Amino acid sequence: MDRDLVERARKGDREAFAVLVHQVSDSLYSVAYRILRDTGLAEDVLQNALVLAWRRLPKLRDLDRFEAWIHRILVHACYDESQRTRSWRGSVIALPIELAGVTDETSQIADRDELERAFRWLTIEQRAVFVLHHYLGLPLVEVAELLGIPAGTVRSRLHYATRSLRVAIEAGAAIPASEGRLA
Amino acid sequence: MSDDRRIERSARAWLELGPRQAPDHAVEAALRTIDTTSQERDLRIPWRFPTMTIQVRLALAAVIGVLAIGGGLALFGGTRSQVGPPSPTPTLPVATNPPATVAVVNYSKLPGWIVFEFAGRQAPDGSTPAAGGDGHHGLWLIHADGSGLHELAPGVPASGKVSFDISPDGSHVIFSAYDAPVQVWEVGIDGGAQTLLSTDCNGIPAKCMDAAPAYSPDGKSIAFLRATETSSVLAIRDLASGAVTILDSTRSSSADVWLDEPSWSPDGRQIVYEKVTHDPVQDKVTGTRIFIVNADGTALHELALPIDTTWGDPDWSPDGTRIVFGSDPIRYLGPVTRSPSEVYSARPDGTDLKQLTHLGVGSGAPTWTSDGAHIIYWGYQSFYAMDPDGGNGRPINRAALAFNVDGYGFYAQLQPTR
Repeated sequence: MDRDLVERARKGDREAFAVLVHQVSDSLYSVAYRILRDTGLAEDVLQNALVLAWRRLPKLRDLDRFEAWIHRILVHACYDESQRTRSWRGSVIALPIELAGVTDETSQIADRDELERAFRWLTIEQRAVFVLHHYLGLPLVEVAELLGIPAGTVRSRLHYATRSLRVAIEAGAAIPASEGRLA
Repeated sequence: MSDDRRIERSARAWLELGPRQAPDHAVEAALRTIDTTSQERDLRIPWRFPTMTIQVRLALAAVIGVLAIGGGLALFGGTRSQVGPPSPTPTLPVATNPPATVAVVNYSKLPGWIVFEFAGRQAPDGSTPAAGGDGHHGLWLIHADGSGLHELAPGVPASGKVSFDISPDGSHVIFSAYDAPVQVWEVGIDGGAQTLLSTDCNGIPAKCMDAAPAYSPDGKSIAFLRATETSSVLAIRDLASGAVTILDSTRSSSADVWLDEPSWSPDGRQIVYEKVTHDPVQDKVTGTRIFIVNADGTALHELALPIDTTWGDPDWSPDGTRIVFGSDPIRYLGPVTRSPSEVYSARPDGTDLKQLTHLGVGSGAPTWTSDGAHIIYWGYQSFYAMDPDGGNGRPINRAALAFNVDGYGFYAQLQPTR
């Protein structure tokens, strides 16, 4: 990330910020989608995070941490969005899964469906840690730094996220998605 | 799936699925909101009194004491002065506040066509050119509000169109063919049949090529490059008679020099142009510089700019007072770039050099609008406009004028509408 661009954006240069936005928006959107599992919500969160980042940018002290800083804003925007949409997310209905006699290819698809369904059991905080670690590939220490929480908390959330996924998957299709844990 | 490691492996593969690109409309919506959103800034107030000596503290205490006693006397029966009317309440000087938000310049209402050159595998409208190999090279028109995107007179010449200029009255466009036969053509800005102007040059490389045409301010002649087997030289063609005048002083070896991007001074007496040096052995551009020559071929000289930069893409302002140019000519950007190109301007004698853009990610190919009010230029992922002093630089219409997916749109000009 160009430190000079960040500095200019911090001083109010909208064009510099627009360039930064184009450099980070794909990553932000990808992360938001993977946490929220909804393209529409991910777009809303992306927009909110970008506007919030612009407003708060003068308060950014370490210019070299811009990328981590804006991802942190995004994750918190995901938290806010999940609070806002808690009421209706429970109505999401997953397609039924037929596991008997499936081929390798369809088995993979079944795994994906299981994961999609099981992921909804995770808390939004667990999802965030899981995505930052397993999708962005950030070490746990960096996830902790990015989220501003202790590394032990990150480790704990990741552990419980994985365990929840396993439990949910083993419970399998017996658990309707509509009864899954809400974000 | 039974163990945690397998779940993690599967989850990682599953997370790879799904969208990876932020939708343009979402990003644009955020940027539009940002255009009218102020940043949060801390109000910095010093929280400590400045350091004072004991004498200063005592003096300050005495002054406060006197003021307190005087105030008490005034309130509780002290003698009131009866001389003259009461003095007006003292007020602090009123500070002139800056505007709460910077006015957002809306370039999407610029009138006329924006004409631009495009090179890429896919045309700006998403169509795939029939001609394969080197992709699509054409001139395209679009309004600043994003409407009316279309190619200017497609099909002739078959190799495509490059290096264009719009006539001073905005009615015609001249250009050169992208590939052999490299000749200069003219066409109405509304399309229609093209007219071949290079009637005395067959366009065959190493024989005779005409390229990079530019209208004179009165629209009656054009300056252009003529390249032969041995030389590259600037020439002027009278459009009525077809007569060609060679500016011999500009002649260089065609083996290692190419002249490009001529632009006339508004009085028609001078031409500024770019001289590109080329290493024929390594087949790469080695440098670019800007020269000025009188229209009669005399007084050839280099624009006096710092020598450590590859200046190019000059354009003379309509009032004649400045020349705008880039720190790297966009057409040759790859081979000579050492740092991102920016837009500069200077007086025609090279003094008062000013950097107008500061984005640090590539800005160039600047051209003046015919009224001299703005400079149009190529910038990050879109076409931009700014004031002549570099102020208000921003995309004309980023959502509609971004042609960088399967190719590049560059060298934009705004149609004169006078």
